[in-house]
Amino acid sequence: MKLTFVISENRRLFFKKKISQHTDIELLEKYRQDGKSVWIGELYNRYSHLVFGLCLKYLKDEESARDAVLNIFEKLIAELKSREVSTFQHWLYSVSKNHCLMVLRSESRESKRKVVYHREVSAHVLEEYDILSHAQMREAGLLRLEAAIQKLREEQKVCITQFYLKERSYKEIVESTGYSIGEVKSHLQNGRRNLKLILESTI
Amino acid sequence: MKRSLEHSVLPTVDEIKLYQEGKLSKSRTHEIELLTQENPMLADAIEGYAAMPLFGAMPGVTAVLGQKVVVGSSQGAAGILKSGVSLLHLNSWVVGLGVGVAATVATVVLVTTSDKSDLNENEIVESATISETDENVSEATTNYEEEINTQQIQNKDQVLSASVASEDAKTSEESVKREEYNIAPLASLETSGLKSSIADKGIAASSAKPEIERTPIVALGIVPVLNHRVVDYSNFTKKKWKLSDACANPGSAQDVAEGYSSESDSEDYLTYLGYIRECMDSYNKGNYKIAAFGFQHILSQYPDDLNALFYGAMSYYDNEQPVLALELLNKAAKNPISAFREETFFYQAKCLKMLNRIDESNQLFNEVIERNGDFRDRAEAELAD
Repeated sequence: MKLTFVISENRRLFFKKKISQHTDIELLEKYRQDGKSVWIGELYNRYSHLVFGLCLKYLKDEESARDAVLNIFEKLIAELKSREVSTFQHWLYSVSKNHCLMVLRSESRESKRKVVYHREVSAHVLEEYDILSHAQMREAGLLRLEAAIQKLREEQKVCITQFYLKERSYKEIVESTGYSIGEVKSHLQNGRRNLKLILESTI
Repeated sequence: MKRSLEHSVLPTVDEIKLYQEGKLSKSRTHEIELLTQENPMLADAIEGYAAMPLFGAMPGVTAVLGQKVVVGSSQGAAGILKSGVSLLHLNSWVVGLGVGVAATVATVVLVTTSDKSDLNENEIVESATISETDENVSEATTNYEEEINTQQIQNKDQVLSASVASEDAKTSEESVKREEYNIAPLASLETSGLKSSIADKGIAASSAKPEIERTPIVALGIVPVLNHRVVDYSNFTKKKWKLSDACANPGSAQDVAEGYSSESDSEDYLTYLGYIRECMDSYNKGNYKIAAFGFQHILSQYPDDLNALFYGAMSYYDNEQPVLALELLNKAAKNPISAFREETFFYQAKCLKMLNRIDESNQLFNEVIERNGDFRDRAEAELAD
């Protein structure tokens, strides 16, 4: 009897979706419904290492980064109860970055960090709106894209071709072209921006 | 199934480490680089980890995420929150622990940590199927192939062999972890009620401690020493450093060199950081020659000491000895620890400029500008000159 009970219960358990199989949106929805921290905990498990890395980048100090991660997820616990978030990763990124920048401002770091802040903010805005995304590249159609790539400057053309069309890594591109890794990233970024402009102008 | 989840393509901490060491497969490397172009959080995170003095300084991570327990599933690799939410990982723990009785009872264990009603409905059975455990592991290996740290595979074996004991509901993982790392509880999460809510519900999970495979953790921090950033090699160098009285009144080079000897009969010893502090003090006071000797003494025993390489180079640079400075800076630039990478490039460029090697100098200034860090403005100013 007991065995039957166990088996029948487990049959139901077997088909129950594991917490790790929920999408971010599903977890957020469940959290808004019942307020149970287990859902936030799963989100924490998924993204806390990235948040920690991000905090390390801005705060440049392990202790501060550690504290920041805790503070950020405490914020999540409070805010996500009522807020609807459509793209959790982007939202988490904004919250985390803003938190780090607030920490930097409030600790009155040396003025050059404020320059970093302004530079980062403007660079981020630039990235978000002015650069061709992968999806847009796919939509552009291969022929149009190849024609557009030919119009790029040589170094941008080389990097874009090698990275996106030949699927090479930064390291391989560095080795084959002799550019530094910073130059490769810069050429890719500028190339994508210019591609967007070229494709938009040919519509 | 896993691939359809948006977070599943993101690299774990282990993968980020392997990526930065260049040990990932080409396809996964390219995939991560593609992801960084679309995912600014990932890009920033990778940059943040790269700036850590030694990537393996996981205590910082573990203190936040809890004990990093590699249990053969991708879930374990994400880190486990130590206090209240730590029981969320019990899925894999309970599954693993239950394997011992899986031969007799073929059931699946789910742990819902905060839902009392679920507990009532779903009687938790301390068992698991071997197939499910294998599924978790094979899923991880299928997704990230052989480049994932083989420790995960080894840990699977450990988990499979863990025995199930008949214990009470309270897990003692937290105390195990705290003992190991002497880390205070995450008070903020406790106050948020996560821990207490789980403890109150009395999760009926086995508290038999599985063997925790801990990845080796190397803790190197950056500490301030007299307003300079210094990599703390304390645990990796000799414990006793001696600054003899000769250094207080610098005489001949021989006296100065001997003054920084690490061997002495005197009872007055300095720690590594204390020794660095003395060298820095000389540097700050403009006694560049003495500082350089001090740093060279470190290098004679620890040729990869980044502090000695970089600040020794700065001592030579400020003493208008660009050739000697460049020699040390070139080594610092190749050091696996990237703590001073940007300033190293900047001062390499400055030294090359002093030596009238303008093309090489400009190339390095451009590199600094590309990095877009704290030295960008100064590099731009140098190029404008």
